[in-house]
Amino acid sequence: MSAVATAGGPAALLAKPYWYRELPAETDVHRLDDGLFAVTGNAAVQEALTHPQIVAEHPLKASSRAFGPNVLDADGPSHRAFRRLLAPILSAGRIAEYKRTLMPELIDALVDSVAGVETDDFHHRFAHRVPYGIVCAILGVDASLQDRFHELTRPLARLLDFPTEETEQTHANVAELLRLIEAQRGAMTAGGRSLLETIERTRDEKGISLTDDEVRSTALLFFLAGTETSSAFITSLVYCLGRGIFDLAELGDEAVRESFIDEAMRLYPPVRTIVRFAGDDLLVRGVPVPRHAAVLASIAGANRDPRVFEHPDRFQIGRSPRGSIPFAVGAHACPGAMLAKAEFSLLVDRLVARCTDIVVVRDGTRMESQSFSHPADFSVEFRTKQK
Amino acid sequence: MESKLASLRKWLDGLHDEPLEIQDDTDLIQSGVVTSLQFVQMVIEIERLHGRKLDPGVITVESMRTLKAIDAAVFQDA
Repeated sequence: MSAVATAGGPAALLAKPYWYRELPAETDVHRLDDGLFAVTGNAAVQEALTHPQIVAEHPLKASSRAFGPNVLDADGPSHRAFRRLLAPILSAGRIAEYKRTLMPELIDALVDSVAGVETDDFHHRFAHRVPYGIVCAILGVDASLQDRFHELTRPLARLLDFPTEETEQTHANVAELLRLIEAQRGAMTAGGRSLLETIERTRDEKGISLTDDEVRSTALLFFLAGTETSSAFITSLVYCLGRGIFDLAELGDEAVRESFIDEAMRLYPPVRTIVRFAGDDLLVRGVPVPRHAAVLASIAGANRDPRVFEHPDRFQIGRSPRGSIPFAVGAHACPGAMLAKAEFSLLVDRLVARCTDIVVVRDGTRMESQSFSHPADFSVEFRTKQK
Repeated sequence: MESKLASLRKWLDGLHDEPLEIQDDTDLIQSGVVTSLQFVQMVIEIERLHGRKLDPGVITVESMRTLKAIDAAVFQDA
């Protein structure tokens, strides 16, 4: 199989938000000129992400080097054991509790702050507030540290992005966050119900045996994944609300609202590209992939595959979400998917109750990031019923 | 015959349009000789030059950080 030559190499290719469109349409598995493999079609991406020999763990990958060994980056029994440990914290019962006791205050505060406002920087000024509030509470981080965590965490998103950016500043931020997490581990203020306390209590049980370093780095990656992906998608959600030509009040109906969110997630998944590694010589859709090769799976491409979605680039409320994989699939599918959807639904519900219109008044149509993707150059106005 | 280390140096050089000066103790990541993904891909090239699969214990950041470390951990240890 000859390699697909990409102008400027894979790094330049990955800098393009819709990179999968640059590759030949006749095949779904492409060998790029640095020996990387790109997987683009829906079935091929699902095969790659569920392939037992395509793994998340690689000791040289950026997150392992930056954060140290951690269970989220691992595969096999320790990863499964950690997922089991997360299960009660992200169970349907606990999510219902968060919806009653944790989310309303955070979401109402956000809606209060945007009502009547026009902003050209929704992502940096507003999008983080709800996810950081929720994840701080779940992890067991004191609410007073929320802004500090945000300030330190947001630049780290570039460490997990493609192309990856590693600087002295990102390493310093990691060190400071690990220090803060260690201090929070010692504080134990959530009555035993937080993730940090649960890890501490069960770290040597249920098939898990975690060192202190692994506890801290796992907590940090959980925090980063839980906050920055949701912040990115909330930005996309507001963008979709602002671009749509429909009566916002329709979204007061839960079924319509869920369908709207599903469609926004299909078109604007926050994680557009996932990198995995071939654990052995293997085949994806019959294409040989050598051991150690990096495999770039395009969630964005899978979600806009015309063989699965008719008029794939069209925003179409009511479309079946079958085949849409914004939370990925396989062993590493997002464990917080139900929590995130509950958060997004309540946010849209409260926004449409408060606003007559949400309007994108300027649109540079630029997307940013492969790992925490969102529209990056638009102004949005939240017009309220009092206006 | 060119040494394995020289071949690896040539492979790293080939990743760039302009010639590079890579010292034995150059930190390959920090110096920007390789990107994050190229660092991972480098393992394939090292295995190819080595002629057999690497022991998983060898594939660590410290063993792969510089040409000197790679030589000591892989090529000289053969």
